[in-house]
Amino acid sequence: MRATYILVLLTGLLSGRGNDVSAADAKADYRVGERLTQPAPGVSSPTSYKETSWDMLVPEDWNPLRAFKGLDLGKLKDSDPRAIEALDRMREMWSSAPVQTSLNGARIRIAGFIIPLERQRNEIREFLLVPYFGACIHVPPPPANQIIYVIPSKPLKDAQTMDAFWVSGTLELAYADSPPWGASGYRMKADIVVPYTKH
Amino acid sequence: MTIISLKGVKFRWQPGQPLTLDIEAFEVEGGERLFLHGASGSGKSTLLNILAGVLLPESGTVQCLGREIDGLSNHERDRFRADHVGMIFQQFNLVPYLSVLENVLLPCHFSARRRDNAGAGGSAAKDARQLLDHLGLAGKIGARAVTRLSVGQQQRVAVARALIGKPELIIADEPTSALDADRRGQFLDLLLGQCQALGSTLLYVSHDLSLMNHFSRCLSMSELNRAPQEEAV
Amino acid sequence: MPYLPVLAVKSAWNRRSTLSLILISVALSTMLLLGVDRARISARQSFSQTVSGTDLIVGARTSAIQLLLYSVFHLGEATNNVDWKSYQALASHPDVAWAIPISLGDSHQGFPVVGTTPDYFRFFRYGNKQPLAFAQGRQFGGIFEAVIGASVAKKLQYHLGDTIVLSHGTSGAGLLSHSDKPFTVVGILAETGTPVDRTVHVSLAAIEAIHLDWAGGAPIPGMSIPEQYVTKFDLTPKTITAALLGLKSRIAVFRVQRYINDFKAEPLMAALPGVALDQLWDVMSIAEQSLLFTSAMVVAASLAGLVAVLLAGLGERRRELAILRSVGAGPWQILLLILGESVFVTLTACITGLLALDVLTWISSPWIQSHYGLTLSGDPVSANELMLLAAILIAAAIASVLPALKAYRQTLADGLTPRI
Repeated sequence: MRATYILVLLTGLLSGRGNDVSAADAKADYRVGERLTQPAPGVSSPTSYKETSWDMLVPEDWNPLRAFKGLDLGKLKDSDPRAIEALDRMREMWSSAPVQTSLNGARIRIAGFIIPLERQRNEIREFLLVPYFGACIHVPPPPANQIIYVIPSKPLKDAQTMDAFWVSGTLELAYADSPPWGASGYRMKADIVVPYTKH
Repeated sequence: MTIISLKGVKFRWQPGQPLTLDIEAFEVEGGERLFLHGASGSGKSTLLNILAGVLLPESGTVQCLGREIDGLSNHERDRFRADHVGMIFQQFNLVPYLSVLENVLLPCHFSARRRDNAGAGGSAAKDARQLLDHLGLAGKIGARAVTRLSVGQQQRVAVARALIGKPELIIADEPTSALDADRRGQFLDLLLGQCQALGSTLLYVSHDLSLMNHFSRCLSMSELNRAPQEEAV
Repeated sequence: MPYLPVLAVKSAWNRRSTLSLILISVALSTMLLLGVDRARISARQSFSQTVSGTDLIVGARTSAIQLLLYSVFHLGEATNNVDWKSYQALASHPDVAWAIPISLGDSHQGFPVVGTTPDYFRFFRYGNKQPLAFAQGRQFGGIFEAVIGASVAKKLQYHLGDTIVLSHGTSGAGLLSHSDKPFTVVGILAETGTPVDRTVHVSLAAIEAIHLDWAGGAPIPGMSIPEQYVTKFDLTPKTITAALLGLKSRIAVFRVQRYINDFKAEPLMAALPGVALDQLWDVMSIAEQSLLFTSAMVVAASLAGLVAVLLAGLGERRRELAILRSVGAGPWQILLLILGESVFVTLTACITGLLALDVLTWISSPWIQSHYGLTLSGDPVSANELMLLAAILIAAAIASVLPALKAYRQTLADGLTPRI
């Protein structure tokens, strides 16, 4: 019946309009722990920001797996205290991860997943940028030198936890204002934040 | 000049059915007042629709004002009708949701030519009021709702609408049938007088033979139409 | 033909007695659809205004959404409590800048009562990092002093110095009341547009005091400790319901979260408010979609009614349409005329529905604010609503093709001489 066909058409038209949050369906289906592909660092980009990968945020001499050097796990008995101790030492290094001080003031462009911190209406004014999908929800969170605390110049609209973005701006070191003193992590004032695509 | 010229016009409503119209020749000169006598079922409605450009014959030529209107597209025929033809129906002539004046001015919204003609003396509204005045409908009737008029008044408004903007051809389809017998003559005089004054050709279709003597030329559908006519009960 | 819209409007106006019922139907359905959308967006905006500057919410191990709901919105109940010693350990963690403990479980005339410390008034932020402000009075100092939110004061007509009695439990029944230990209102907070407005704040010691002679959720029969003696007892809380934490560095949030989640003394969890909100949206969106779909079906039904009325009216309009044909209108223009009438009626209905919704919003706003802590947007129309209205108009136009086509074919067959 023609009338029924028209009724169905109307319903589709109206209900399809209803959800503006479904813009977040543009969020691709990432697997837990998946990282975003970035072009090789150092590739010249049209803007003045340097393409940066997350590895570059880690000082070269930092290796949390050093605790396991010389430890042949195959030779240890079950529940050997040395294995547990090595794991604990690794975890400690993970949580006190140092920053790459040379990056203070660097203008970089980096891709990651967002975790909203401050929301005003449907705008996100502050967020954390992490390297892999599912951080803090399903898998252990990244160490401090793999998290950037971002304040964008313009708030993000219609974005959700674990949406992927390219973030460009000036990287700064954040300093603790109480003991233990020293740089505790990265902050960024982002000039440009755009949804992630493979470029 | 020849206003209407039909040659070899044939028409049937559905393929496979007998012809409704079969006219070998039919001509009307400019300025004529033609009385066309036709009973119901004689094919007169079909003929009127063809003359007005609403229907196309299956064969033959229809010339109106020197133009072959059977060769025009649908849209061009509608434009032609708007510009050159005024019609009066038997009853329910007026659009119920427009005022009297708006009804009279209706053709001016569909034809630039008639709008310009009507507005030549100032404004189209002024021309409309003048027409109504000549037809005996003066004063504040312009703003009145059409449902509050008598049948006789409605028919006269219909005449005004048909005449506004000076179309060359007026087709009247039984306009007096709904009137009282003693009003018919009066109405006809008004109509004929106005057509004369404006120089329009009048094609008057009716089955009332008593009105024949008002007209210069009389024709009957049975003479004109060779197709078998339905017997009306 | 520019006259067609005029004809369409006059024609529709002429048949207004028949069309007005259909107009009301379409207007009501428009109101429903727009109302659902408006409530949905207002709810989201309102919720995201509620907490600001808080890095972690801590509570017994439960779902993040549940924790967010009871600790910030005071909706629902906690499954378990947090030991006071655990809270102290958290508050003294090197990464923590400030901590606000929250104790829930009592109510006053349907409004939730929150036991907390003066740090609440110092560190709590909402909206865009706005602190709480006092409209009148000050924060609580003595044990039986209370600070109430703006909606509580407005709805119950409270002023400074008034005495209030708390009830046990969060339902509004108030059957179990702490009438032997009344509180004095010493402060009224300025309006925030968040659940703070509908909350009664007292000190943690006060919560302990009113439950001194209770056990297992009811007063111990025969035992009653008068209020002047409560100070003789230890009023340190044993447990709290939840805590809000602010960190020295926002980057440390994961480290602290893991510390709390791995806390050995008791099962705790820490949630990031922003992430918990997104999870709440995901759950809510299912309900939202169903509501929107149902409303869209209602609009479709009312438009079907409009189409039916137009179709039914075509029979009696054959003469009128023949007159229009006779003055030069083509079948296409007849089609457009019918479409135009339908769009005109729908447009009028949409505007009527929108205005009615605005009036309804304006009337119900205060009640919704005081009952749910939700602020409805005061805009007469939003960009999203305009798009919904456009969608309704387009749907009406598409549906009206049916009667318009019928009129088209009818006029082709009738010509100038319809057989009535």
